[in-house]
Amino acid sequence: MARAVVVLAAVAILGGCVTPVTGAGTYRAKALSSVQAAISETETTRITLQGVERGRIFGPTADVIVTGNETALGSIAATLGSVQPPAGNDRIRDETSQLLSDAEDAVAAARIAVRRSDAAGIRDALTEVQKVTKQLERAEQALVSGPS
Amino acid sequence: MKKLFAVALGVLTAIGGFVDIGDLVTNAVVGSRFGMSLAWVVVVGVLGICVFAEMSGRVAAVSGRATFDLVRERLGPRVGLANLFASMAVTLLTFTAEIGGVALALELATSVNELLWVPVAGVAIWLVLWRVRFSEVENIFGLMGLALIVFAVAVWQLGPDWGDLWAQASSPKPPAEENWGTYSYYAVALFGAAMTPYEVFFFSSGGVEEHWKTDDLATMRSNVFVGFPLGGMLSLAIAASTTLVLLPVGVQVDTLGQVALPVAVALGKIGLAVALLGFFAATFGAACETGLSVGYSLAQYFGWQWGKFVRPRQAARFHLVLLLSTILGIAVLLTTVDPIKVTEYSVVFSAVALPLTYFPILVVANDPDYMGEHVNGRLANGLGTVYLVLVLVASMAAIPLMLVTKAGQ
Repeated sequence: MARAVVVLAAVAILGGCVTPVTGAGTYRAKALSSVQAAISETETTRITLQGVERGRIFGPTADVIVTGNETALGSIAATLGSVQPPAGNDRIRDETSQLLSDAEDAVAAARIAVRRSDAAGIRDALTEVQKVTKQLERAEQALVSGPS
Repeated sequence: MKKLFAVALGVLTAIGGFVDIGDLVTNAVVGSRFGMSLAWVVVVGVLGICVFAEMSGRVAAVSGRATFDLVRERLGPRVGLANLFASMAVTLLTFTAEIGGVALALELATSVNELLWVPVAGVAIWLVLWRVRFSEVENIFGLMGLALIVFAVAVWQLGPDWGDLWAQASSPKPPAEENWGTYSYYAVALFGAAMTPYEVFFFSSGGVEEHWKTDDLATMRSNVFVGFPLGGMLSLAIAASTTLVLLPVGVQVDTLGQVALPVAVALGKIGLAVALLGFFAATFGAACETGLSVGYSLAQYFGWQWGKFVRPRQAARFHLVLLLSTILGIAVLLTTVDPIKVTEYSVVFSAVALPLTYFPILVVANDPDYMGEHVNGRLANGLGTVYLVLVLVASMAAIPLMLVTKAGQ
């Protein structure tokens, strides 16, 4: 009895250490929710940058918001990266990871420009953020519409 | 004239003090995900808090004792202890969330990291609890909290399609991209945010702090039945602002900065400054209320001297609880836990604890030994019973919905 309890406990503990292997549908759903969460962050950055450009948001407030977006994007990428993709889903993984990385880079550039109060940098970052948001929206559509 | 001033001040502070970090975050999240389709929950929740706040205020005015001072005496130590544990645990969690909210508001204004603001905010709150008079705490932060009216101004300035907002509000179902599970989860969270237990602890104990008598019942009722619904309108304005600016572009609120964005878009820097002031006042005022509520509930259960109407030396154990609660709140936040997540969990656990808070109020308000001729009438009992059923349903559904929806994901 005691041995069975120990075995069950070991299985439960070790089970928590193994990265879950998911089905293709589940993996696609995880990728989709990651992309949607990333759009939420890049769109927040866009609204903030436009506010800074038009003199409608204080620098410190914009800094806090954009830094939060950058941190959140890092967390979204790390969460998806830790999921074991099922066979045949490497393309989804590679494309989504690349997009999330691009989004993080664009928002990092925005954060740098905002902290420096660099008007030209903010304009460039805004263009980059809008571009990556469009790519994320296309990826969202592709993930919604079915298998690649 | 003096009476009229007291009524006006009471109503204004009730409006300004209605919104706390739970209302700010939950309404903004709901607006950005579900539009105005959950507005009905705010209406139901505000009516519920009005019903029970009036009862607990009446108990305080008639008996001269706070509601929970009577719970142990009337319902026995076991029910009193269950009530104490559930309500105090949730109020402590809410207190922690409010301290975090103050730190986040200061971070947004200065860009200094919130973790550096947490101890500063905690010490400032404790100093106010220790040194500042009860009426001053209530009036100053209640009036400053009126700054949140800026959200209503922002909604008007954004020039919405009012017909569309009304269509959303009058269509209580999830939008196409959401499901009934998350919709129900956020309905429970919104209900918990509107009916947070500490509000009745504070209202009832505050009545004793301010020496309410039966002559004050009309003033108390005007605060509740005018001030609270107008405060609820601020909650709806916050939801409407995120519905208009964030929902169409797929932004889901997960930071306090995102809550402020619609105001900046609509009104620029002046509006943003007023919103940040409102965030600070709402969270600081609510931190004082929740901190005091923790002390009230514990001291009233054990029969210690409590309150700010006596010197700290005379209520040493009550003030010790305030100090320890503040230290605990600061310590929890310094583990780097996200204050917004703490807030989201606090409103859901509030929903779980609701029956243990509101059932004893209904019992005490029905006891003629305490209430005499001011015992509950048919209307109060009818509404109280309906709401007791509602809080039971919300309480039982909260944890299963949290597990099924992975906390609303």
